Amino acid sequence: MTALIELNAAGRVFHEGVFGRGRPIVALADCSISLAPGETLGVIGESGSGKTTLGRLALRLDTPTNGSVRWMGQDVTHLPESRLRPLRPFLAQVAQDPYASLNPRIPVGTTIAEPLVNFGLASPADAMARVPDLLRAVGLPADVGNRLPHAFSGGQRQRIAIARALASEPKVIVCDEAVSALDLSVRAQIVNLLVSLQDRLGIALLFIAHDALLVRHLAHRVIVMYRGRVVEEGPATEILDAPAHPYTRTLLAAVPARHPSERAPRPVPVRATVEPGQTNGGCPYQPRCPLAEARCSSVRPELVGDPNGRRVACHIVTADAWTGACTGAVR
Amino acid sequence: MSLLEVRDLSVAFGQGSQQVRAIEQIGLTVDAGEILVAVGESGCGKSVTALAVMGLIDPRQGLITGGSVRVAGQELVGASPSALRSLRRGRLAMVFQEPLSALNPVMRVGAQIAEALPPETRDRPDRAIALLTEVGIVDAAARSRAYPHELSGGMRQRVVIAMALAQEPQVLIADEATTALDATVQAQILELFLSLRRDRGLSILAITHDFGVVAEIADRVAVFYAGRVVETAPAARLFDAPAHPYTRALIAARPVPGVAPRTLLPEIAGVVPRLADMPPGCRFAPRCPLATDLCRQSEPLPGPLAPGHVVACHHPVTAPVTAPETAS
Repeated sequence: MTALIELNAAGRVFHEGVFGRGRPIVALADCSISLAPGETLGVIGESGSGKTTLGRLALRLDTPTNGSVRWMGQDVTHLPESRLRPLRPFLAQVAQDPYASLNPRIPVGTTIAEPLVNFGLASPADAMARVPDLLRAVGLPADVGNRLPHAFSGGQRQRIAIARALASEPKVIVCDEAVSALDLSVRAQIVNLLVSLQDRLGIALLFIAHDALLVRHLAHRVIVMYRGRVVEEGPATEILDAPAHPYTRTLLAAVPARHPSERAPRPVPVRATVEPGQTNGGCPYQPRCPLAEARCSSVRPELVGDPNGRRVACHIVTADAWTGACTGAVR
Repeated sequence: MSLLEVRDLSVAFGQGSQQVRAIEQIGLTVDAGEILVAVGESGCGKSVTALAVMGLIDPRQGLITGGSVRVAGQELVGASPSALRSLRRGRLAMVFQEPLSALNPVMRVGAQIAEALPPETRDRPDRAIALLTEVGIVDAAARSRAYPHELSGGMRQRVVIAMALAQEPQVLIADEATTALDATVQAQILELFLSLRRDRGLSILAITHDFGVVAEIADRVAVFYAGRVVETAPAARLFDAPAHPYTRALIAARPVPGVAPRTLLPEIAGVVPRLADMPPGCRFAPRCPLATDLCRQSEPLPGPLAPGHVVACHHPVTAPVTAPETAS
C-alpha cells in the first residue's frame, strides 16, 4: 500500500544570523517516516526536538535540505508551489492556537469555505453551501457560519479550525499541538472529535504533541524525537508502556503523577546541556544519558530493529532487549 | 492562625453597568510550610486572586470590592502602595509563567537577583550566587554573569525563583510557573519547590490548570470555577473522593495510562460562562449532570463535608471515585 506521506532520510539545516550565513543548526537529521491511510502517527519530544520542522516538511511548507518527501508515492521534494497546489487539497493542518489561526474580521463560515475556493474545488456559492454540513461534522450548530471568531470560545474555535481542515476532504491532517492550548474539559471534547472523525472518514493524522499520555491515547504508532533525530519508534502502546531508549524513559518518568500517592523522588540531572543543533558526532542524547559509555560520544547509533515493529537508536539498549530490564525504569 | 488568610475576597473590573465581577468571596488559607494548589480552567479567577493577594490589581482597570488578605496577621487590603511595599517585603513574593518576560534582557542575572535583595545585602554578589546555588544552578558563580538569553527556559525560571527568594518571603506565589516548560524541566522545578518547602519552611500558593502539578506537590487543593472556590480538600482526598461534580469531571477527563487507547474520554459539555454572563444559581449548573431546579435558582454556599473538606454544592457526591467513570 502506498504511504500517504513518506519522508526518506529528510533533514533540515538552518543557519544562524540575519543573512543565513552563520553557524549551521541541524533542526532535523535523517528522519524517515511513513503515514498509512487512516493511521495516527504520534510525534513526541521536548521543545527544540524538531517536531514542528518535521510537520512543516511533511506539509511541504518548507523544503528539506537533504532527503526526500513523497505524497502518495510522488516525489514532491523540490516541486515548485505551482505544481504542489493541485496536490495540496489532500492534506490539511490544524494549528495550536485557535485565537491566532482564525482571522478575527472574517466570518467563520467564510474561513471554513476558503480552502474549497482557494484550491478551485468549488465556486464561492457552492463552497458556502457546504459550511452547514462541515459545522455539523465538528459538533457546532449549522447556522453559526456568519458569526465572527470572537463569538466563540477556545474549544469552539478549534472545532472551526478542524471544520476548515475537513473542507477539502483531505486524506491527511497534520495536528501540531492542536489540543495543547485547550483547557482540560474542552480538550477531552476535541480529542473525542478527532477520534470519531478519523473512525468515520478514515483520515490519517500526523499528531505532534509533547503530551505522551495524550499521544498514547490517540496514536497507533509513535516516533520519539531528540534534538532533530528519531531515537525510538514503533507501536504507540508498546513504546509508551515499555520505553526502551533512555531518553524515552526520562520523558515518561517526567509525566506527572496521577495521584499524590504516586509521588516519587525524581532524579534531577542538572547537567551542562549541549547547544541545540550542535552535533558532536556521537549519540545526540549522550551528554544527558545516565547509561552513556565511551563509544556513545564518538559513534552515532543507528535506528535498528524490526522496521514493522520497534526500532531504537541506542548502543546500550538494543532493539530486542527492551522487555523486562527496561520497564522497571519507569516508575 | 494561618500564615496567609484570604477571606471573602472579591475583585471587579470595569465601571458602572459594564462592571464584571472576576472573583467573588474567595476564601483560602495557607499555613506555614504548606503547599496549597489552586486549580481550575482559564478564566476561573485563579490569577486574579493571586494578583489581588499581591496587591497588583491595576487600579485603572479593577479594584478589590471586598474581603481581606492577611499575611502573618497583617491586613494588606486597603494599604497604601508604599505601605504595601513594606508589608510584602519579607512576606510575599511571586513568580509568573513566562520567565523571559520577568527578566531584564540586558542585565546579567546575578545583578538582577542582587537588585531584589534587602538593602543591607544588596552589594553582596556572594548572596546572589548562593541563591543561584540554592535553586539548583550548577557553577552559579559563572552563571551569575550570564544574560537571560544565554540560559535555557528551565534555568531562567530558576533565576526568577532565586529573585523571589532574595526577598526572603514566607509565602511564594507561583502562577503557572511550570506551564511553559518541557515535562522533564517541569519535574525539576516542582522538585525545587518541594525542596524549598523542606529546607526553608517556605509556604507556597501554586496556581495551575494541570492536575498533574496538583498530584505532584499539593498538600491541599482549592478548585476554582467561574470566579468561585467550589471545593477545598487535602490532596489525596480530592483525588479519592472529589465531591463537586466539576472536580469529579475534571479528574475523569484525563487520559488514563494502561487503558485501551482511543476509547471516548469523559467530556464536560459546554464551556466556562463569561464573566458578564453568569447563570443564576450555581455557576456550574448549566454543565452539571446532577443539577436540579434548586441549583438553577440559588447559589450553594461552601459547607464542610469532612475535616478540611469544604464544597459549595447542593448535591455533593459522596461516593469514592471508581475506575474510569463517565461524568456527562
